[in-house]
Amino acid sequence: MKIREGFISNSSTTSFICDACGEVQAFPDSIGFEDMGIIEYSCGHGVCCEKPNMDDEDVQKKWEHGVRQALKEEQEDLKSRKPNRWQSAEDIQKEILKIQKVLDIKDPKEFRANLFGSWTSYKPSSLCPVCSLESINNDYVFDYIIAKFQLNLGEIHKEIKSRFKNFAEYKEWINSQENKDENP
Amino acid sequence: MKIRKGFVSNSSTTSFTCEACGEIVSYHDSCSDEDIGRTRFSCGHTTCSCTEVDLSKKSVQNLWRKDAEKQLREPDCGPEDEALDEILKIKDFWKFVDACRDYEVYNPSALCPVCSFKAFNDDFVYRYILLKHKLKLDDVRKEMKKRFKSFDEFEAWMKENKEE
Repeated sequence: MKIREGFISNSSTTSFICDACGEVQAFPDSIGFEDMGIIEYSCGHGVCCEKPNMDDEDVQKKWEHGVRQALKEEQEDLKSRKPNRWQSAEDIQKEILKIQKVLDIKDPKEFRANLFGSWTSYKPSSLCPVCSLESINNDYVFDYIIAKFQLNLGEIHKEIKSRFKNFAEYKEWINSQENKDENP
Repeated sequence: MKIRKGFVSNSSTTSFTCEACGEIVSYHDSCSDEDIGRTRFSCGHTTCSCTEVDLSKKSVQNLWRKDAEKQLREPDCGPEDEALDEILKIKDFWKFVDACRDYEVYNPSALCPVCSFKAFNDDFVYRYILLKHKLKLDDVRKEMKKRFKSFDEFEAWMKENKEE
């Protein structure tokens, strides 16, 4: 997920580029991604244009499986964690048991209702439309084109500059090529 | 220029993409062009603080004035006849610039780094690549979906094939 932060006078804003559609959204720092309708998946992708249909049974199953897996990973992480000034051995043990209690729940509805903290809004990567390549923004497509044709952006910049005298000439060429495509 | 406005409760923010360097600048609507370092040109191109128009040079001032006079005479942007005459009479350059602030007068396209090809962002390069290689974005997208099972597979392939 690409995020840019801009600090202007006394106010700070963040701009976000959707990994699925490429839309740029700008919003004040005081507002979270969730408030802006952006879904942040566990893989790190951020999507503004589509939401998983949680009424769909398959989606629910995928979601539950993903959350259970992440909870288990968190539990393993806690087990290997050493007590520190912020978390005593007792705190860590309590957290492990809390997770186990949720993991032991078999009924999906009850499982969902008993999730706590940030786990309630956790979105596993198995639901991410970018990870499944259902939707990918143009940046990724261009990355692919550049790698596929072994292109070098700097070299193409130079090529454009040597091929066209100015922007007007470049625009004219672009328009003529696009016209050719439309009326072959 | 990519601009998207987002209205959230009582505050609204906007972002624009610099056509010279590609930087995305986001800001509150209440900020002026000067606050955010945005430079607009009469050709329609917009740049961020990567571009500076140095109005202290006499040659730049002459260019600026000539283009501004042309813009002021345009029916959509310009003032009424009488007000226009008044502005055109102003000899002092800085007073003339101040008078232009009330109207949509932008920097002359002759100073635009994009028009002169001094700097242009990757979007222009991508458009060129697509046409040069006769590619269609949707077709490439389909090819990617066919070629890779998942994003992880795509990323692994990219790592192997991306030129450093």
